[in-house]
This record gives sequence, C-alpha cells and structure tokens, in this order.
Amino acid sequence: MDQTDLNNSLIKDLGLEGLPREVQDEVVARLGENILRRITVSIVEKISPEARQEFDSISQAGDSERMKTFLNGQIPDFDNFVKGEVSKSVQEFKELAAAI
Amino acid sequence: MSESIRTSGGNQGGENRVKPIMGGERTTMEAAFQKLVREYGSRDEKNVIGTLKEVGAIKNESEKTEASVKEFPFERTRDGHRKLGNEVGLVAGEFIVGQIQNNALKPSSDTMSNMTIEKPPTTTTEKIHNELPNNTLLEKERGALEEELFIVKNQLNDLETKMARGEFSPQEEGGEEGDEVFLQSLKKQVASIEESLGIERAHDIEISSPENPTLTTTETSSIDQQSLGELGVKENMVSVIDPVLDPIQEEMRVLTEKKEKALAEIRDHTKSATEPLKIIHEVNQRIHHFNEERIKADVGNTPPEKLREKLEWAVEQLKDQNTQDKTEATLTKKIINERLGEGKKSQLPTEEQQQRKMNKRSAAVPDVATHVKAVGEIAPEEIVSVTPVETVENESMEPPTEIKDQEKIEEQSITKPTLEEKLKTAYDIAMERIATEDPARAERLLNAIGATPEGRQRIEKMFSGLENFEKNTEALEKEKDPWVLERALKIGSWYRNVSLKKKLIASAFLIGGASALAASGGAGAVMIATAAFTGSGFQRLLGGLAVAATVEGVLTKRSIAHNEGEEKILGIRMNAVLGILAGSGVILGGKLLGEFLSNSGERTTEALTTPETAQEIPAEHLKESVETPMDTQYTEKVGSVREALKGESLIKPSYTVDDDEKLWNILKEKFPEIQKLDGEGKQSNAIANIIEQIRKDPTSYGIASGNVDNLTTGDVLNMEKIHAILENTKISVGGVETNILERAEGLAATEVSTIEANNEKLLEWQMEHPDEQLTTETADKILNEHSPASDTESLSENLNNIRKDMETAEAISMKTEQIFRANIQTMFGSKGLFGYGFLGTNGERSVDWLDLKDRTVTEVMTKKFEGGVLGEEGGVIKFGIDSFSAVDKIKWYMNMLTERTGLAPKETETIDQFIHRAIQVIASK
Repeated sequence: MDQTDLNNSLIKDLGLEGLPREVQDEVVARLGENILRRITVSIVEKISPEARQEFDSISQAGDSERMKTFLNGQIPDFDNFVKGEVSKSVQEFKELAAAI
Repeated sequence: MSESIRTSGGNQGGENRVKPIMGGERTTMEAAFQKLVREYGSRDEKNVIGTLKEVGAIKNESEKTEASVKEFPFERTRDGHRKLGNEVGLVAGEFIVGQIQNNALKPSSDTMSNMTIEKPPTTTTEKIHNELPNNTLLEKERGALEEELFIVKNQLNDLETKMARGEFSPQEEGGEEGDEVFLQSLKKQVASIEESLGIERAHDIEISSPENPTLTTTETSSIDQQSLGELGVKENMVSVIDPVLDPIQEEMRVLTEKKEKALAEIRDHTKSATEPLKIIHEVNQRIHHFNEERIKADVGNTPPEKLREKLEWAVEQLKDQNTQDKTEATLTKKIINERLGEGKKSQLPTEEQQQRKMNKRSAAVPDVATHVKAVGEIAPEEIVSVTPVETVENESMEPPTEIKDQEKIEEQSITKPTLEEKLKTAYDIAMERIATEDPARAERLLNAIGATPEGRQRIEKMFSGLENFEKNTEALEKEKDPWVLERALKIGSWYRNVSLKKKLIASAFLIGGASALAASGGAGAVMIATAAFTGSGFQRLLGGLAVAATVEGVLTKRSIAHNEGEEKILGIRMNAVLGILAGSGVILGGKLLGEFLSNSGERTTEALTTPETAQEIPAEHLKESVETPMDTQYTEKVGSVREALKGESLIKPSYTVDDDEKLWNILKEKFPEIQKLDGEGKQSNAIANIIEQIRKDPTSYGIASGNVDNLTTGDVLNMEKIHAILENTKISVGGVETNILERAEGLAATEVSTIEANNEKLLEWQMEHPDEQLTTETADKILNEHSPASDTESLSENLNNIRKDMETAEAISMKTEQIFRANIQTMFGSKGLFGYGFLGTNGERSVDWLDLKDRTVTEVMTKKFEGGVLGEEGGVIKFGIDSFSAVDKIKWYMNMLTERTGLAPKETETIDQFIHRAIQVIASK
C-alpha cells in the first residue's frame, strides 16, 4: 500500500479528495465528533452498574492510564472493540453519503 | 422500585416544574423535601424522615422499609432524579390515597391516622384532603393536586418507557417484578388523584392487583387530560435530556403556562370560556406545527430504506388500541407519504403485509418513536376539536375517517420533493448547525463551496450524509440509559470546545486508527476516547504521545502552507505519518516505539513517549517504509516515523533541562507556533514576550533558581503552562490588545530589522565572550551602548521607509506616527529588541524622552555638559536634559532631520513638535 500518495490517505479513504480544504476539515472534524460520541455510548453502556461509580471517579481524577486499565477490565478485547465500533461508524457514514 | 428506600414527602408548589438537575444545583426533589419539612414546622430541613414520622405523615408499618433520606443517592442526574421522584411520588401518592379513603370514612380531624402527635393540618395537601368529601376544590387546592398528578404521571411515563424497552431495576431493588408492582401503584395513584380532581379521564389505565386483576376507570375526553401532567412531564424530560432543545423547551414552557392559565379560567366557570378556548386553540396549533416540523426533519433525514420501517411503525401505532397518542403516528405516516410522493393508500401495507411485519417486529421502536419518547417532546394532543384526535377503534388497516379526510387535503397541496430539494434540506441543516457554532467557519465553507461550482453537488451530498450521520448519532444516544446519555453529551461538549485543528488531530486518530489504513489500529481511538473520558487536556494528550504531537506539527505546517505544492507535500507527510502510526501499531505509543528503542539501548520506554529529536536514527526509508506491508518489522517504520518527525517541534507537558540549556533556545525549539513565525525578528519578539511573562514567577514554571537566565540541569519546565502564555497573554500595542503571536506577526519591518540587528550584536558579543553568560542585564547593556553611527543608519532607514507607499494624507499621518514611535523607541527604548515586553523600555515612556519632549528645541540643542561625555560619572544616574547620552542622541537626531528636510526649528517649538513636523515633511515629499 503506497501511503505516500494522497489516494491512500485519510481524505481519500473518506471520499473527500478534490474537495476544498475547508470542506475536508469540516467533514473530518464533525465525523470525528460523532464517532467519538458513538464510541462513548458503546463503551459506557458496557460498564456494569456496579462499576459506574468507579468510572466516574477515574474520570474525575483525570487519570488516563487508570482509565485505560479500567476499560480493559470492563470490556474484553477493548482495543479491537473500539476499532470495530469506529469501523462501523465510518462505514455507516460512507453509506449515508453514498445513498444520497 | 426500591423498597428499601422510602423517603416521603409530597411536592407542593410549582417548583417541581422544569428544573435543571445538573451543574451542582439543588435537585428539584431536594427542594421539595426541604419545603415539605418546613411546612411541617421542622427546623431541621434535612431530617425529612424524622419530621414526617413525628407528624405521622408516614405510616408505622412502612417504617421498617424506610431509609434515611440522607442515604438516598442524590445523584444529580436524570436517573437519580427519576429514582428520587419515584420514591417521593410513591409515598406521596399512597399518602394521598390513604387520606382520601380516610376522609371518606372519618372526620377531617382524624385524617392523619396512626399519628403519634395530633396536630391540625398545615399543608395545602392536607387541607385539600380534609376537604375532599365536599368535592369542592378551590383553585389553589386543585393546583396542588395537579402538581401531585404531574409528579406521579412523570414517574409513570418514565417507568413505562423503560419497561417497554426491557429495562428494569436491578434485582436488589426489586427487578422486573418490583417495577411491575410500582407501575400498578403509580397507576393507582394517577387514578385516585384524577378522581379527586373530578377529572374525566381520556384514556384507560388498567390497574391490576391480586384482588382486582383489572380495574378500568371511566374515560372521556376532557380539557384536564390535556393539562399539566402530559405537557409538564415531557417538558421536563426535554430539559434534562437534550440541552440543545432548550430554546424549544422554553417556548413550550411559555406555551404550557399560557395553556394552563386558559384551562384554569375555563375551570373557573365564572368567566366566559371563549377567550381561553381561543388561546388553547392557538397553543395547540403551535404545538402541532412544532411536531410536524420536527417529524418532517426526522423523516427527511431518514435513508429511503428505513422509511418503510417508520411507516410500518406509524401504521402499527394507529392500529394499536393501547397507544394513547396517535398524533405522532399520524404525522409520521403523513410525512413519509409526502416524501415518498406516492398516494397515501398505496403506501399503506396490506393487512396481510402488516400482520406479517408486525409478527416480525421486535420490541425495538423505530427512530422517530424513540426520539419522541427520549426527548419527551410534546405530542399535539388536541382538544376542543381543534385538530382531529384519532381513535382507532378496530383492527382494520383502513385509516380512520379523520385521517382520510386529512390526507385528501394533503394530497391536493403536496408536491413531490425533488432529489435536489431533499439534498438541500439536510445540507442546509448542516450549514445552519455550523453557522450556529461558528459563523466565520460557515462563511469560509460557503466561500469554498462557491469557488468550486462543479463540486457543489458533491459537497452538498457529503454534508447531507454527515447531517444524517449526526442525526443517527443523536438517535442512538437518546435511546440509551440516562447515565450513558449524560456521559455521551459530556464528551460531545468536550469535543466541541477544542479547536478545529485539534479536532482534526483527534479525528485523524479515530478514523485513521480503524480505517483500511490500519492493520492493528484502534489504539488511536482508544487513546482519544480515554483522554476524553478523563477530561485530559488535549495538550497533555499530545505531549504524552509524541506521535500525536508530531501529527499536530504536520497539521500546523499544513495549515500555513503557502502554496499548493507545499500543502501537498505537507499533506503527503501527514498522511504518511498517520498511515504509519495507524497501520504499524506505532501509535500504541510510546509503548512499541519505546520497546524498540529500549532494546536498541538508546532510550527507555518512558523517555520515548516524548522523543526529543529524530537525528539518532538514520531513516531514509520514509517512502520505502510506508510502501512496506504492515507486517514487516516495524523497525523500519519507527525509523520512518522518526524521519517524518524530523523538524517537527513537540509540545509536551514538561521538559527536563539538560546541561547548559537556555530558556530561549528551548522555547524556540519546542514551540511550533514560534517556528512558523516569519523570520528571526518576529520569533525573537515572541520568545522574549513569553520569557517576560515567565520572569514574573519563574519557579511556577519550573525554574528552580527563580531566574529565567539561570536554568538548572534537571529543572522540569511546565511546558503546558508556558505554552498557555502564548494564548493568554495580551499585549497592548497602540491601544489594541493582541496576543503574543499576533504581536510578533504584526511587527513593522523597521521593528523587525532592529530586532534582527540587535540579535546580531548579541551574537557577536557571545562569540567574543564565550565564557560569559548572556543575561538580561548584559543584553540590555550591550544594546544600549550608544552608537551614533549605527543609530544614524537606523533612523535614516526608518525615514526612507516611510516614503514608500505614501499616497494619502491619512497614510502619511499614520506613517508619520509609526516612524516617530520607531525612532523614539530606537533612541530611548530598549532598542526594540523584544518589542515592548522583554527588556522593555517603551521609548515613548522612557524617562529621557518624557523629560525632553516638551522642552524647546533651543534649550536642548544649546545644552552643554561640563563633565564631557561621561555624564553619569560619579555613580549618579542622570536622565533627560541632564543626561549627556540622552541629549546627545536627540541632538544628532534633530540635526539629521534638519539636514533631510531643510526645516529650521521655530523658537518656541518643542522637540516633540519639531520631530513630528519634520517626519511629516519627509513623508509627503
């Protein structure tokens, strides 16, 4: 895969090549926001009721490392889970954009 | 239901209405509790249970299941609110029911059965119940009961919604069985209160109990059914769930109040109902309109393949006798048919089709219904025949008469929307959303779109897709548990508050980490999400992960690319970096990169989370490595990444000072914003102004010595705090406040050249004095050494510059002022090395200039010094007219002006006046 070419870039991947920079940035930024929100929902809803308080506690403490450890404990194969959720979201976006 | 928590208390007064429950405010229920306790005459507002027991408001038999109100989790969340509301409402409802029953049998003085202390009724509720047998409620009494009804209906609605979704309380709180018991209890309370109010109910509420499996109350339509409960409940939910809907909520609140007032007047019977009915009619129309618009937007943004599902849902709802509110379904069906642009009846599934699909349907509710339930938007349930209320009486798929009539009217006016119109709708919504967030950004986008008309449709398509994607995100969020929803909203809020640049970084990691570019990605998404959950500042995140900082550096440079070619190169680099990071697992961080380098004996893992330079690894394989399959040894990729990182500055949260390092150099190396400033002069100005701020409190930035000129090996500089100076520090220039970077960017050419010239002086000095430290004081001394020759050159250059581009009087005036300031600064300021901040003496505010400027030219030009050139000899500091240095400067400056202009100073003319006059003459030549 020749990633030195824009054809294989993020922009290309999202079908944004050739569009004005402002448009590319807008789409990427907003897509990112939505994906982040979706990941949040996917992750947070998997946290058991008993662990919610701990989640909030870690969140308030601002300890990213501990949060990562916590989430790894709550969600099996956490990294791949997140990756899957993001992939699904990106795919949905592509389909929505293509459907119109 | 939580049987273990039985606080008590009713909710009197209107304060139970819509109130935000987040943001540290007292919850509505807390307020209700405390008000209740006050009304019972207790001084201890927090001792709700104790007070209620004391006055006998809580029955003895329930004491064993009670817990202290203090133990109740006063979560400032919607869920917490709901739980508390349930408990309060339940006890209050039971209390009311008990009172009603007691009142029917006993004299009012005995209403508080099981009371240990007998006291006359003190609360509104008590009084109402005591007087209930007469069934002649005063308006305020009715209001109190309606409030109770409001609360209980709220709970009932919430509980039903959750149960319909299959969400039940935890087992320890009773589980599904407990919820069912609670549900029946709430229904019983609603029935009782409505009965007390004399409300003729518009819908069935089935109340089951072991003794009486099904109890159906009598219902007919009435105004009261439309009132507080339904509207209030949903309004409340809107406020809690979706702050975005605040404006709508506010409008609905006003409308609701208006309607309540009208309803009260109708109930009053002493006034004509004509006007109130008119108001209600108008309010209902507005509500109806609102709902129609909302559903239109929702349907308009629904992909065609999902429309059928929505339509099925609508038809099913119309058919379902248990569905009390048919309006949502009616509107949905109508609008879907509009969109499809086909005949209404042809869109309706056959009965057989419908039955088949109903059988297939799960409990899941389509988007529209979910949305409506979630946000609790008000259904336009009409009264007084304003709008037909559908009541499907049979199982036929044929729409009710009212619907058919409505459809006939609609068919005459509906125009099938074109594809372009459909696109534009979502596109316009997207643009409006952007414009709301950032009007300037929206304008830039529109300009960009306008510049490429051939791509307009493509852009609109992209934005429409994005808008639909966002709608789906919102729908997804809103159907979740409130606890989940709240956190999703927080993340959204967090994200929206970061800059566009940082959003791009986050997005690159999120999307790149899971896209086709990635083989083992996802870590980027994990990293961003984790940072978001922990509220980590983006800067910290970037600092902690050097690769991210690198991407930012690339992006920063990309954003300032001066031409297409440069942008493309930077774009390629960005993509290469992202691709490598996402695809190779290097993005995992610091971890993998660190392992590699740790094994090679160069650095520890920890150290490598923030690599400083990339020089150690020869990496000519940027292109090579990105073309290499993902599973190749990532040593090459590490090299590639580091190559890609070359030249990119890193911003990290802290920086440990090495031997003999200077603050100046550190700032210059580590801050990409400074590097991107055009030229040494501007960069110096920015760095100097940063240092000037640090100088105010060096230790707080990590400089142990407390001296910005004296960094100690091992000092850990707080780079985040230092970096914040760039954004937070304001510099006033000509009465206009700018930040440090803007100030540097805005430096005049003469100022820049002066700075650069002074930098050269300092460099020379350093070369001549290799063993001496260049401190602030030393620099000041070097630069303030008098040098008539160089000053003359500089001032002359300034004067020449103002001749350029002089076309108007206004321009001349402006330039005159500009050059005047520059020259005074050159003579009496700190030579302009660091602008007006660092080492800073503003020439115009220098003691020398302030003393000299209002003296006459004659006085200054005839000034003589007996002691010769060493005017400050003897350790006595002199200034202005007494300073040889200052007077000498102004003398040859005046001579130069006279020579250049041919002007002669007037007898009474001051120095300031003559200089201005002379510069103006030069500028206008």
